[in-house]
Amino acid sequence: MLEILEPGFLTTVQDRGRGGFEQYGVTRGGAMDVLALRAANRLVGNGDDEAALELAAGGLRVRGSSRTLAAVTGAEYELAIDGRPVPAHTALLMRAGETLSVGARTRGGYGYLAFAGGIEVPRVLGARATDLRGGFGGFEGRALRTGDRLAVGRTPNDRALERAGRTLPAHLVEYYRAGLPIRILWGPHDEFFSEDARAAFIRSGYTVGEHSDRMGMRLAGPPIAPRAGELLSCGLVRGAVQAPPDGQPIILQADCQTTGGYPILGTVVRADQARLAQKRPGEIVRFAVVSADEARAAWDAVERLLNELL
Amino acid sequence: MAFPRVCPMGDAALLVELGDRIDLATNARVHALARRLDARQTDEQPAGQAADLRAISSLTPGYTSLLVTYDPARAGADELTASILRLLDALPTVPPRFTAHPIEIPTRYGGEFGPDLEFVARFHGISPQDVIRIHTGATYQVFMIGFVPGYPYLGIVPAAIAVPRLETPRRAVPAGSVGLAGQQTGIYPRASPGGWRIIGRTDPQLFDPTRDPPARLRAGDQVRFVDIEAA
Repeated sequence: MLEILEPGFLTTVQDRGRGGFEQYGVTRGGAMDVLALRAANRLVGNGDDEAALELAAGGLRVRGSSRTLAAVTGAEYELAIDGRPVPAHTALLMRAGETLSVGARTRGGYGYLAFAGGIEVPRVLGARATDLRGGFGGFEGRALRTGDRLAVGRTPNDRALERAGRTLPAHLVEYYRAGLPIRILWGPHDEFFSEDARAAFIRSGYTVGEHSDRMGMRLAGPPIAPRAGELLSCGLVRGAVQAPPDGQPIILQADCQTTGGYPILGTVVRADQARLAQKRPGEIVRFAVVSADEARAAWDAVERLLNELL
Repeated sequence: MAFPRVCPMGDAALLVELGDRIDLATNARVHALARRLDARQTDEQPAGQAADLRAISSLTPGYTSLLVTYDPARAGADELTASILRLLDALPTVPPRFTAHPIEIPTRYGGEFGPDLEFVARFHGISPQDVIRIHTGATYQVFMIGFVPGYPYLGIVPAAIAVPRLETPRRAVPAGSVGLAGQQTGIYPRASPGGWRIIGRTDPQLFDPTRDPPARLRAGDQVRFVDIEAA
């Protein structure tokens, strides 16, 4: 059992998300940075489908009633167990009754705190992810509060605890720090944009806006106003770069609406969605256009990085 | 622009566009294609035939389009596009038909349940009763579900009661509210902000995440509103 002593800001239970219910208006949802979630799960010996806590900022304190392994990945924080500093990106041994504190965030956007055995909440529509707008999934369909008590899957045995001290491969951490552009494929509505607008999008840097959240990342920079203001609503995916009439792009994120009518200039490739999700308000994002083959190679490269952590 | 056309939306989705105007026939074709692709996912298939369609993981209908997400490890965009276009070619062109038994939506019109009923009547210079008569007199098709879980976009609303959206959306629209926006009508499954003109309210049990399927109405269904007060 885990007891939330301090919830932090917008801490939710998340897994890889739910697919196949978009036709009913249900977003895929799930972790903003699925790569970091999977890394945290693997550090503590979980499968990729287990649920963990997603932190939108720091300020979380959680006490475990029995000994377990924990790991924090994604964004970086000052971490401590019962007051002694502990490292990020590492499988940490927590003894029964100890408190893990996730303090001030020092880098990145979203953090993931996984426990051996995974967070046990009922699956709703096939997933444990919290759908905040729908008010279902995760822990009672909401962000965590002080006093919430969460069940974990199982208590690890001595052998499982031998994983304590394992860390992420350095180049997985590097994946986030490399400062490479975010790769997109054009379309599906790129012909609704002028050559100039398309060139401006690729040439310029865009600043991540304050009002970015789990639904969408708002960017500020040279406008990419479409020729048509609004199209008939169509289905949407995470990563779609929407252009509202003012031309300030919105990139759809994990909890995006399932349908919408703003023209879509391009779509961020899957391999770069984790990297994008870690950008914070005020940071500059640059974009590069790739081909379908390059997108596939990029995805394979990310999977290879993660598979070093089997 | 020529239709159908299939465009990638990123490296794991294709947007199949069948037209660029709202009409029943195009929308019915969207749902027919969705049903065919859905059946292909689950049915046993002859060896070697269109196996790539099994890579499909979700289908999201829009007014005139179908978004198909797929697992790129199991199918490439080009082969999947070719298979979808072949399937579309073979899809019979059936004129849209209205069922004799649409799903009935019992509704209370006007007053506290429909604060914009008077506006709609004044806008067209008719009585509130006329608005109710026209709204309940038509059969509507569920064009798509979107905006929030379970929200049905219904059409086509007769021009005689079509109204523009609110200039300033309400911060809170109660669950079950029945709204008008242009030639569309819709039902709010849960309380949320909203810009549609609210003319009535129904039982809000449109979405229940503990059921499968979670939404009471599905894209392609046909519905009719019934005035409870008149019944």
